[in-house]
Amino acid sequence: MPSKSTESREAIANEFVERLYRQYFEVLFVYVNARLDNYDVSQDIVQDVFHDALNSLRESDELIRHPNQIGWLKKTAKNKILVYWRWQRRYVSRYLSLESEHFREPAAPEETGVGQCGQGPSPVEQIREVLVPEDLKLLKWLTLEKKSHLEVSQRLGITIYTSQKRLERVRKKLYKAFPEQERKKKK
Amino acid sequence: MASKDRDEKYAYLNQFDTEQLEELLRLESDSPEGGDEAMIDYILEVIVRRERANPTGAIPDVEKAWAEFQTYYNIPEGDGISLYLTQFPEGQPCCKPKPAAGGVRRRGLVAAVAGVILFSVVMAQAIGIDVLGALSRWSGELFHFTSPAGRSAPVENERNEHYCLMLQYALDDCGIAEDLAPTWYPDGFETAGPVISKNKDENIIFCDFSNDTGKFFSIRIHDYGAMLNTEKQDFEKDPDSVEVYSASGKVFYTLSNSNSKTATWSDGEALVMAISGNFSEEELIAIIDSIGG
Repeated sequence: MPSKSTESREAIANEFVERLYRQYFEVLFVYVNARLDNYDVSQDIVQDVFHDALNSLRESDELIRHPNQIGWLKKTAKNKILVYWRWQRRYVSRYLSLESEHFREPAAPEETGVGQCGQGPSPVEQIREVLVPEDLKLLKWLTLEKKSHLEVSQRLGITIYTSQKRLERVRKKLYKAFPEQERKKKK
Repeated sequence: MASKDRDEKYAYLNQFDTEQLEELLRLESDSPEGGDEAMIDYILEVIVRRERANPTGAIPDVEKAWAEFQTYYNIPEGDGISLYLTQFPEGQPCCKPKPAAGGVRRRGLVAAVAGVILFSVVMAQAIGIDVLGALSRWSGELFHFTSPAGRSAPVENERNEHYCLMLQYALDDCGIAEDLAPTWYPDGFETAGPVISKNKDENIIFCDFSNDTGKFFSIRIHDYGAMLNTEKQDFEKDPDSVEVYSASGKVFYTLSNSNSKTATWSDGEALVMAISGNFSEEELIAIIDSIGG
């Protein structure tokens, strides 16, 4: 529809996505939640899938002409789940203890111990050196506590996209501090 | 499948409770073969129908969700942005369509003596050799890793993507963060999916492929964990057959053994990967090039 104005394209995209949403939101939620078993993150991901659909329609009509729209939605959701799991594993298993005591608020300087002579700081100590307390809190909520971006954004009074950008910034800091080839040490 | 036919075929599923259907849904979705989409769709519809008939709150209210969508997700700041990516932000897609060829071939021939056996996963006695920073060593008869090195490829079609995802799931299941799942597989080869062997100290992922002309290959990924035992995994080979091949930051050592070819890689700490089979060298290289791509 190259001749239509941007406004028309936007209106058509919104109308189409709303129809798709009402038709498939519930089945897509069940599909995602069956794999994640996390109501809030599942809803976050499903919302994001429909948002991707809207973004796609702003560029082209391909999704409108797609022969299997629910298939497109499920596949998009499946890929998001996979990436989500990988991030979770990477950060939870590499850097974070599953015990909440590792996420006490940072100790006062005089209370902070140093590593044993001859040994470097632990991963948690390294994380604290790299991340400010707010970043640490965000990382804890999104990875250890598996909160959704919607929940985190409402807690912090920011938009979900700001929450997402902050997480990306935290990831980049950690990526720089912990080289990719670092291996998870098995107990 | 026509809707009526599908409903008749899967009507037996109505006898299961919702929790059982959800478990079946999980199994089908995670199936190495990709799952029965018609069954998946049927289960989804049954669960939704039940929830609409007797709301339990297990599924968000659509109107409320739509309102939230408009309020929090469909905002100008989110134009063109995804909250949850479908590929890793470092530019490595989870599984993506075919890429340009990569890799620089470096030839390094090594004098050797006879001996031939294919790669096998054999539990070796723990010796506790410190492999960090060491170099690969090989004699005439045997080749083993001592050191890590430097990685590429894509998925051309649905089948390649499916195989890539299966292996990726297996890697995730074993807590292996390294990008090792190839995104390209030779035409005509099929697999039932990866098998994972886990014990206290190590994990092994096996994935065997074969075609209908008798050709086969396998992908093995061995995570020794704290054992640091990569030096104890020996690969027997033909004389003068070790070559070095680099792709996407990883260095593979390719060996030939009679009609079979093997390519091996290690991170020098705990991971060893081997791809071996009686396929062509071009196919082996294409698989290596596609890893992480």
